[in-house]
Amino acid sequence: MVASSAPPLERASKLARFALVGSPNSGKTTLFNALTGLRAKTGNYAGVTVERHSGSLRVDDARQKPAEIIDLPGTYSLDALSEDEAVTVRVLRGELDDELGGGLDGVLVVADATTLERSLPLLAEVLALGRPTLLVLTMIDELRARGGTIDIFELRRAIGIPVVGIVGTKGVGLDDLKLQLAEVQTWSRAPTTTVHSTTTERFAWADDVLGRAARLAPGASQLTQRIDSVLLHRVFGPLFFFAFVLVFFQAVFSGADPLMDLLDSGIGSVADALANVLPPGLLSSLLCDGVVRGVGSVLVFLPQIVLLFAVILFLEASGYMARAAFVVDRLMGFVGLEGRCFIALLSSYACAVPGILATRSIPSPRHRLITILVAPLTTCSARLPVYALLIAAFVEPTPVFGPLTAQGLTLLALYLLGAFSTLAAAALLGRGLVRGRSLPFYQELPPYRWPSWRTIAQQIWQRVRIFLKRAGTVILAASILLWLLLSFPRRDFPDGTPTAEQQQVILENSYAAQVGRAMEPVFAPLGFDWRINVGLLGSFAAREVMVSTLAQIYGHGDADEGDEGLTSRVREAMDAPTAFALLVWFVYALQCISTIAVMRRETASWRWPIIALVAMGVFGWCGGYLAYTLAS
Amino acid sequence: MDLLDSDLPAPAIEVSTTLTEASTQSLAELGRNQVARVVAIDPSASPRLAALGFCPGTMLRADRRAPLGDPMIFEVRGTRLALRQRDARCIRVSLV
Repeated sequence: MVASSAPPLERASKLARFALVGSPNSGKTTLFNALTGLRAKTGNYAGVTVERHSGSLRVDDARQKPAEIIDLPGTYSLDALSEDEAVTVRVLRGELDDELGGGLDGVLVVADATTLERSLPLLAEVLALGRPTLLVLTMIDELRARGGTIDIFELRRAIGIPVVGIVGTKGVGLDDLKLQLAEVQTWSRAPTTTVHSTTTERFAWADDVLGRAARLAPGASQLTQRIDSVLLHRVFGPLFFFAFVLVFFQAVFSGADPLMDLLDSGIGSVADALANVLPPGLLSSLLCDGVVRGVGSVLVFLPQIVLLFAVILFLEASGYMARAAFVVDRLMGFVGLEGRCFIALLSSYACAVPGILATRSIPSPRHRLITILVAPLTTCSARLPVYALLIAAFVEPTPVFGPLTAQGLTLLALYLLGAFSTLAAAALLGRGLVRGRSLPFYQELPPYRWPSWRTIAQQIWQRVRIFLKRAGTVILAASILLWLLLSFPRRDFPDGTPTAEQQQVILENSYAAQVGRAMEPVFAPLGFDWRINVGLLGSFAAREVMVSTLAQIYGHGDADEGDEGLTSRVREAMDAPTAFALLVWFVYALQCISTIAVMRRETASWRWPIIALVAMGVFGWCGGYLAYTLAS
Repeated sequence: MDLLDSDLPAPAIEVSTTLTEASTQSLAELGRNQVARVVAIDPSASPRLAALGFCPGTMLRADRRAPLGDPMIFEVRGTRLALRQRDARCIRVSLV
């Protein structure tokens, strides 16, 4: 049905265009998804960080017409205080028609039928722009269930524009809405008397209109009140919040493990199979080591990213995320952030890439930027293999307290150092390095609702697509570049030289080794020799690549030998102060192409990723130097 | 467009004397379940507060505070919104 209902291509140029406008939690995304199916296109508006969502209307009836639906960012008002709202206003005024490929034929204002008293003033602002406008009332089932009423026929008369009531999650009313979209020319227009210049006037207008439409506001959601009396309770609330953080952490860390292992071994077997099929030589090495293993080392994080977003989006759509942000807001306030930043930072413990993508729910641009900048300082899971290797090699498993050993304590200390640095950096950035004023903090606590799985699936897919696009472009290019540096210049070996030995000789004389030697004066104060420097270069693909690069460079890159072999070789090759300097360096340094790429995308400039790269490098160097000096 | 182009003035925490009449108080001082009517908003506060429903004449009810005392929830125009005290202080209300 989906395939057959796609609009014919030749008509695409004459498509009617509709924009969806509505406040956050109005059911706008669910409606957009119901209208367009999973065929939405996402992109960015040129030069800004605002996401562009558009999709073609799913037509399933001869009387309906193909159309393009543009989902504008959720907004409470058109006073354009944030970048999102500025884009909404510009689209509605027709200033971005060229970018969208044509002008708007109509505007759909989406309003939650249970909160019309709050959401109708936005309609008044849209009506003032003079475009053909239709009001969509969502969640009319919930309105009835909570004892509220609205006479849609009278509301239509009172406002003067078409009004359609729907239940987005169940598809109720969508056919009627699609028929209305086919007849945009016939939409009645609101009288000019609806133009109001002040917020107070718009609220008065809303009250007047609702009064004429037999409005009875719904009672409070009993279920929500009962759940909140526990989840926001003075004692149980924080307890539940900590339990939530623990479960979240555990789920994201270990829940994705089996799939990640599977993917890892799958990528390994693909590389091995390629190596067997292709004649040994450069092409084989490029494809196996450069492309498959290089991109694979980043792709491995995909299950974790999917799981992370599944959990976050579920909690967001069900209403708990707003409560979690509410409970923790005060703590985040100490470092100049707000509750919603906490969720993004928590996600960054799995991987900074989804963490940075999760900052989209932070309305204040300033808070959002600070969170993006400090997210790479949280201890992402790619650091763990490096920490594990170095700790195993240089810290004795001496019992310290109960089951805690010196090794465990060292790991804990590294996590704490990361967490402290994240918060300290946020506080510093908030104190003056990042200018601009925050919006007032406001957080709507919507009633608890059962999420729409389709909407969640669509949103996960949008984020996964961003990640895959990165893996296919920037990360692929970087992997090939690294491979070139690590495997050239080539040299001839007498027949019968073991492959591992060949690899080691090539590596020792590679361009990467030359770069590594050139870096020695910089990193010598930290005790790093050229081999560690090559590892640092390699770890830009993903931090845990450090481990495999070290395995290659310290010789006999056989996987069969196991971790034990590598640990002992690392112990022979470097001294303890160097290892501690390296650990501290890894706490700070922004060595991750994916993170840099996603920072660039989310801040729409190279300025911030470059500042972060340099600043974290300086911190890493200073911290490493301190650790080296103290340990020597 | 720069990400940080909103160079708005910082909200004054102190409310001008014309607003501090005996019968009014700041929104931040409301106790749980107290019902009040918005009287005025500090002119230097963000226009967003009014757009969220805290505009003069509106009735609201204070709900619970977060476990650490801040922010607090207000029920206004059929929605529940959490505001920080710092922002709530910009709004004057009279008890009903």
